[in-house]
Amino acid sequence: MPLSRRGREVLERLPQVSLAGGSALGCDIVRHDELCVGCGRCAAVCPSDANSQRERFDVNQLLDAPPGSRRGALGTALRRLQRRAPDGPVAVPARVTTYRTIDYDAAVCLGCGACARACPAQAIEALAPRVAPAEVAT
Amino acid sequence: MRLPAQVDRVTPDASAVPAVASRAAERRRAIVAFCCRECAYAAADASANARTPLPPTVRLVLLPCTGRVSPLHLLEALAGDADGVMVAGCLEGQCHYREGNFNALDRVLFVQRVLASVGVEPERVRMFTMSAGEPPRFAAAVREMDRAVAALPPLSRS
Repeated sequence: MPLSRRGREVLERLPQVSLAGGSALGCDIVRHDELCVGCGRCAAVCPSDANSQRERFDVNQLLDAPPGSRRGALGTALRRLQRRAPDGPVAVPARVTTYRTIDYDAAVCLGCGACARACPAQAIEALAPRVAPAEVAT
Repeated sequence: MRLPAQVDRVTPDASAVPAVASRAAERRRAIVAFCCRECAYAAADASANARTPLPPTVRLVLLPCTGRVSPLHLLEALAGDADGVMVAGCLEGQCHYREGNFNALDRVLFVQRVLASVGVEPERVRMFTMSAGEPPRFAAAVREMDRAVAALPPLSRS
């Protein structure tokens, strides 16, 4: 399997990783937090715990959400009411499960793209490893 | 049947005029009360049967359980016309659907924190609990909410 530069970096950083079962590695993961619905499926499928659901919520995710969505409706209502820009993330009570910001840690991400396949809101893109011809040759 | 001559139904008493004006101010204020069918709405019903006067500002919304309340209900009510939103459910541990009132309480807390983070008074959204056999407690909750909201500066909407 040809490895991208990023894929090789991942392998060097995490030598115990086996390439045998994976179909891809070293994808560039691009998260669109404004589309995220906070379901946490990316955190559930992530093999390296690079995605994790935390007990805090960034209110800007409501204000930036697209207008047709549920979060967008909340954002529209909040925009009518707000007197200033949100001051930092808010702590989320235990029983509120979806209004949580997902943390993404690029340092431990393998770039396998499992999160992008699992995401129901198309909020995560896994860009295929770009293989430069010179890199394949080496 | 003719009315007795001394009953004047057209010209209001001069002393009644300020009362009418304050009633108009009260009418401009609005509180939405999301009530669960099992406890709070039953208490509201009994309180109405007992002819307990409620503040004219309150509007009741019947829900099967307060667990149905979503942050969107609370924020949309405020963004629409309400100055305060109250969620009234069963006593802790007595929810007829086991844990709906705990879910509602956490959503109320979440909305309070979101409101506080954008500079809106979090007291505008509150959770109350009562049993079906406590109509005075429902009336007291509504009066308390009404008093608290009346003390706040008007809610500006853009």
